[in-house]
Amino acid sequence: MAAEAGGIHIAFAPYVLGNVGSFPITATLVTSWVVVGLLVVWAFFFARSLKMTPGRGQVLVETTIGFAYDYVKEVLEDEKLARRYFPFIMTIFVFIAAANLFGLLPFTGHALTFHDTPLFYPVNTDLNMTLAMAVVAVLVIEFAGIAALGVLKYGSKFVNFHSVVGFCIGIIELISELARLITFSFRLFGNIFAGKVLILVALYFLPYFLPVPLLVYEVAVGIIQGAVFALLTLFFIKIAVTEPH
Amino acid sequence: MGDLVQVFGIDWRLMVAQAVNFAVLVAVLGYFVYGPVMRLLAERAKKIAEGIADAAAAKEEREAAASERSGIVSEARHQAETIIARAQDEGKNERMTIVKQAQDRAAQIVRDADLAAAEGKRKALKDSEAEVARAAVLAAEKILRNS
Repeated sequence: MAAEAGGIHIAFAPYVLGNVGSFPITATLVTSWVVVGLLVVWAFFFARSLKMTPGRGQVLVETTIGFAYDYVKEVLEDEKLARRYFPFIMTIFVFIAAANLFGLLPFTGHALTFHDTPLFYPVNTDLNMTLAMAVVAVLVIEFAGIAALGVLKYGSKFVNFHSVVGFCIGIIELISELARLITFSFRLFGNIFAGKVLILVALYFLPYFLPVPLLVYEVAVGIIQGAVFALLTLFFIKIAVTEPH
Repeated sequence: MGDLVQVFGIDWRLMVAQAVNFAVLVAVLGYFVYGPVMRLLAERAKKIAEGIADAAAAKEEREAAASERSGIVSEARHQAETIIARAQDEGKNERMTIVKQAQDRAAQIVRDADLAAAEGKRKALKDSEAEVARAAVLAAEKILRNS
């Protein structure tokens, strides 16, 4: 699905920079590695500079983490569950938001190319990434339900023979559970992909001026989408660990 | 479905690679950021609680010290008043004693003086009686001699 219209090239599939064996190295994967690498380096130096009397940067991180943790604890209504799932939920937000913000930097896209292929490209414009995150999130959600209730009790949410209505509701629950894979992955993909296309189009029509407010908007979208993914995961975990009635 | 996979360039190996990236990030951020920050927050909360408890204890101690001090001061004032009152009493008593002794002594002296005067008077009278008698004898002798 490539469209050649006035120089704007839009494809859903990620750009492939090359292959290692048969493994395709895509621009989004390279970008993802760089984002993870930057976060790892930052985390390392952050941990070393941690002080009892914090500086401004540390206060920001502490406040964010403290606030997020309190919120997770409040939603899950359980200290143990909060401790177990907080790193996972927080990292969903950090990774997606960081990847989205990195994707707005000037050298992502067609500005910096490798054999005429973009070297960096917004990570979440690749369905492989968003689908991978969705699969991981759904697996963790199901794991949370089973760990909290046991296989039989958790399974009884989806397959039960109490009544015809109960059975039907169970099946619907099961389908909606699987539909999360689609909604999770396409929500994020759609938002970020559309944002990228929007900016490309704006750049084409009125470079220098039009993209600025759009970029500001995309910064917000990038952070909000990270938060949405993380919050939905949190809520679904809460639903999964709640006793069936 | 095959079309969908091709259009979006879905490749399970890429998905695994992205999932691994995410897993690495969960582990690294958990180890270097969330863990230390949560521990730090807990530690700081503990320190603040301790600080507040310490401040409350110090305040209590200070109040106790203040009330003890005011107790001591009022006790001291009370004792001082007692001492002054007793001293005044004692002073008054002593003065009265001294005055009384002085009066007694004065009375004694007056009495002694009276006695001495009376004795002198009596002696003088007696002496003068003898003198009169002798003068009478002498006068009588003179008369007799002349006659």
